[in-house]
Amino acid sequence: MKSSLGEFEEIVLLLVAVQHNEAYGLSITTAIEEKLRRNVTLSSVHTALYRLEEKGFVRSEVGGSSKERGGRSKRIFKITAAGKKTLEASRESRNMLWGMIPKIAFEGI
Amino acid sequence: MKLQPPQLAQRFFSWYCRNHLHDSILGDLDERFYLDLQKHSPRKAKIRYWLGVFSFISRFTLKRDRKTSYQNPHAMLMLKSNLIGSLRFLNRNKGFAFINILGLTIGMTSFLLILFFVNHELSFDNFHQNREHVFRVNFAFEDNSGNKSTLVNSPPAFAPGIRGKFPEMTRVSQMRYAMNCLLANGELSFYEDHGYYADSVFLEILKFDFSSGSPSTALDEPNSIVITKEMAKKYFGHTNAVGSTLLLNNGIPLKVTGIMSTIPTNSHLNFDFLISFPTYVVPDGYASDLTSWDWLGFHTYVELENQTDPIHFQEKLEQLFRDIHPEDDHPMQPIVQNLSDIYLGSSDMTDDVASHMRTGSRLNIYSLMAIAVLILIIAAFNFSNLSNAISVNRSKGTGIRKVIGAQRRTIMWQLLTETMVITLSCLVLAYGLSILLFPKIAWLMEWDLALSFTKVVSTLPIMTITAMLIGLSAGLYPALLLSRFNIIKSLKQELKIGSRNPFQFKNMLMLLQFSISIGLISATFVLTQQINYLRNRATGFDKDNVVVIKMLPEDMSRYFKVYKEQLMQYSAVRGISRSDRSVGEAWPFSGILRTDEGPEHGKMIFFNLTDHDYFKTMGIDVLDGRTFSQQNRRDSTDAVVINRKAATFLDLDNPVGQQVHFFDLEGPRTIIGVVENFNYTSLHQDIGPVAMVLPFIDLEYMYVRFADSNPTDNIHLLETTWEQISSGAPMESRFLDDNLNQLYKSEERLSYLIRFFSGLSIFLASLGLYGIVAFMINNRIKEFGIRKVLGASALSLHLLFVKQYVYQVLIAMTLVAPILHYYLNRWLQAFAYRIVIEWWVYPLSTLLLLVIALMTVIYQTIKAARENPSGILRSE
Repeated sequence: MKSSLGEFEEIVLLLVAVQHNEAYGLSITTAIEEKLRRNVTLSSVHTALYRLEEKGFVRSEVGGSSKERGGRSKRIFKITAAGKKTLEASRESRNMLWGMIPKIAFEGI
Repeated sequence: MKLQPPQLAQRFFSWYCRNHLHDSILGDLDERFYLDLQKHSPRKAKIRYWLGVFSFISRFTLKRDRKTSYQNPHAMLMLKSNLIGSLRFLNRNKGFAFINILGLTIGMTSFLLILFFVNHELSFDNFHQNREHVFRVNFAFEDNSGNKSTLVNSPPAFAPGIRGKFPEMTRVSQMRYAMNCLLANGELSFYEDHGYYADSVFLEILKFDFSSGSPSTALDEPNSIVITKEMAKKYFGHTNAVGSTLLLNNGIPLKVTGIMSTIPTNSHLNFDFLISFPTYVVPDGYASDLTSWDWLGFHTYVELENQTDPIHFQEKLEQLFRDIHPEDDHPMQPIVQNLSDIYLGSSDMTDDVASHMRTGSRLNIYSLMAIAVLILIIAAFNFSNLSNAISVNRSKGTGIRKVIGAQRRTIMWQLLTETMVITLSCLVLAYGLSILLFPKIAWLMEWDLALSFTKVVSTLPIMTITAMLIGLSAGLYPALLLSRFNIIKSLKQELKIGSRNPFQFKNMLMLLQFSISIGLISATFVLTQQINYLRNRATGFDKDNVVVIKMLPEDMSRYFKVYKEQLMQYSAVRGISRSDRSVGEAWPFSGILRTDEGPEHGKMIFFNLTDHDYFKTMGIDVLDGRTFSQQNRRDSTDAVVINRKAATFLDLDNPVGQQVHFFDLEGPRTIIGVVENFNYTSLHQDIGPVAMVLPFIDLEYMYVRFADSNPTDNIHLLETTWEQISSGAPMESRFLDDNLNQLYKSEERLSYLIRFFSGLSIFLASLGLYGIVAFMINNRIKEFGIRKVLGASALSLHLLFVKQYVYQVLIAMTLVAPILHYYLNRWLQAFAYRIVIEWWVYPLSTLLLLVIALMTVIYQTIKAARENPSGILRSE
């Protein structure tokens, strides 16, 4: 695999997919804060998005604006085929690993 | 009021983040701010906003977008497209392009030509590495009537007297101008007057390149001579002349001990040869010798230690002179002048021995620079105005570009590229033209310099910057204007220029152009008048039909009697006489004292040696008493003739019969006659007191008065007679009036130049006017048509245009006249005899400009007024 995916990046990438065609920096940040109950700064989400874009897992386009944004347009991120593949690979490897855990391992914990 | 995100934070973010991410991030921050406001206090929201702004500093936000990748995908392609667009535009507007390029090229060429010259003038003596430490010692003195003069000369005892006395002075050397040298190599002999007696120390202070021989010893021995390469070729046919011998004045053998390379033309010392100083002997009959502290007939150069303050050194020298003559109230005052200041800083000093030192004039340089800048300004204004006017014609193109998506900056760049291309190609043309023209101009103006590659290259930076500035300033205004235009308006071509507001930018430029032209024309008038005045003014003697002959003093004493006898046989010859100094030359001073007064009343008077027939030959009126007489033998030792001025100067009511002492002559002399004042020197100076005595040394100048002006015959007569009696001794003859006109050469050259440039300025201003009017008529041709349909006469149509320019020219005159009047009067102050500037000079110049300028306008308005209105109005 050319580029690996960090844990945080994976979450962001997943959320891009979750918020289909509506994902932008702030929406992802809010989602992480509210759904995952994790504290995260806006800038770290943005940085993750740009890194994902660099790696070719997402692409961005200029989206709509609103009054709250001072008329500035959003940058809407969309998952690419490569992104989808990476997510799938990550999921598969996890599933595989989950499947390989012997039952005994979780007993008594 | 709704709470807003902190503006300072926004601005800070916008400052550091300038790429495509900017909007989306700032939008997110804003959006979050409003969300925060619902949950937190405004204060906390603001803090979170600030923190957000700071936390975004990262490589993604700091990176700038490459413009090419976003706005202009291909910068070079864009430039090419701009260039093609410009060329097409110029091709479509050939007249405009031609006028612009012609005007700007002329302006730049004039500027360059003057720049070459001024650079040369400012470069004088800078080839001497040690120029900061080398000084010439000049002497100033004040006579009893308070007239102060400064001579570039020094007394012969001065240099030996101070040698070794001052620790800060490392070297001192003196020179004597070698006047009247006849140098001979066998049969080959020439009369040379560009040389000095000098010693080896001189060559150590001022280093000149030697191609053979050693500068440190070449001038040590008596009877040595150092010559330039050119002179070696002239006498020996080759430059290997070291060891050969030249004969000086048919008697003194001089051994050639060194050959110098060509003396640079930017050296204030202008010589072909140097004879070793020990060879110099004071000629018989001179009142002074080499021990004199008063005889200002030498040139002294000193070299000082690095850190020496020249003023301090000068004070020490002043003290020295006070010590020599403690009783003297007005001792000679030494003035220490730095080498780099000599060329331009000596125009108010005189060289008493009339050697051939070069002197320049700061005033001339400043005038030239001013003219150059003014011409360039006119050309630049033309360019700016025309580019400005014509840019409206392209508003449609600009509109379309904007519709397609061109940004304001793109359009500005396109226009600026265009003006830059024009100015830079004009610059190239100007360089070509000025290099071609320079030799011709230099010859006309008698500029003693040739262009070299380095000289041309050294002007490149300043010229390129100037050209860029012109391009920028000419292109910027239309670029700003055009790029601002509303797309729809520019597409519908609703834009109009041609407001009649006199304070509009373009009209201000025209006003300035007119002012400059009027100024130059008026200056031409005044200069020409002054020069004509100087040439035609009564000088107190009859300068027509007199030939001045210069020859060696020995030849004069040998041949004069025979020559005179021979010449007097011809009826054309009316009179012949001799003198030591010629009119037009600087006359030397002598101390004079009435015998009935004490030595403290001594005064300085101009002094000359003249023979018996001088006053008759020169046509100088005798007011009282008599002039020198052949019958009266005692005249040669006893008599003096003074001018009217001298009588008042000496405070004598009845001068004839009174006795005076001369400091340099033995015994008292009786004033035998008073003559009318005459201008013995140039009219820059007022007539001073003059005393003339019969010669006691050999003379140099001979005057022959002819009955009529018949130049070729008269000179032929003089020359053939001379050849018969003198067996080929050298002599030079010139007409006296030619000689005198030489005195105003520098003014005359300035006037040529100003005349030329004022012509040029009128031409350029008219060219600009022509362009503007052509354009305006083109734009207003429909208005013309409608006016005509409504019954306007051709005359009223003319007036419509002409009125505005008449006003402008009149305003220009009122602006420029007072300033110019002040400066012209200052220039005239340099002359003791000067014209009064007539008031009508300014209106006349204005009228001249108006006529020429309006001719260019009227030609076009006539054409426009004649046009059939139906033809103009039909096509819509």
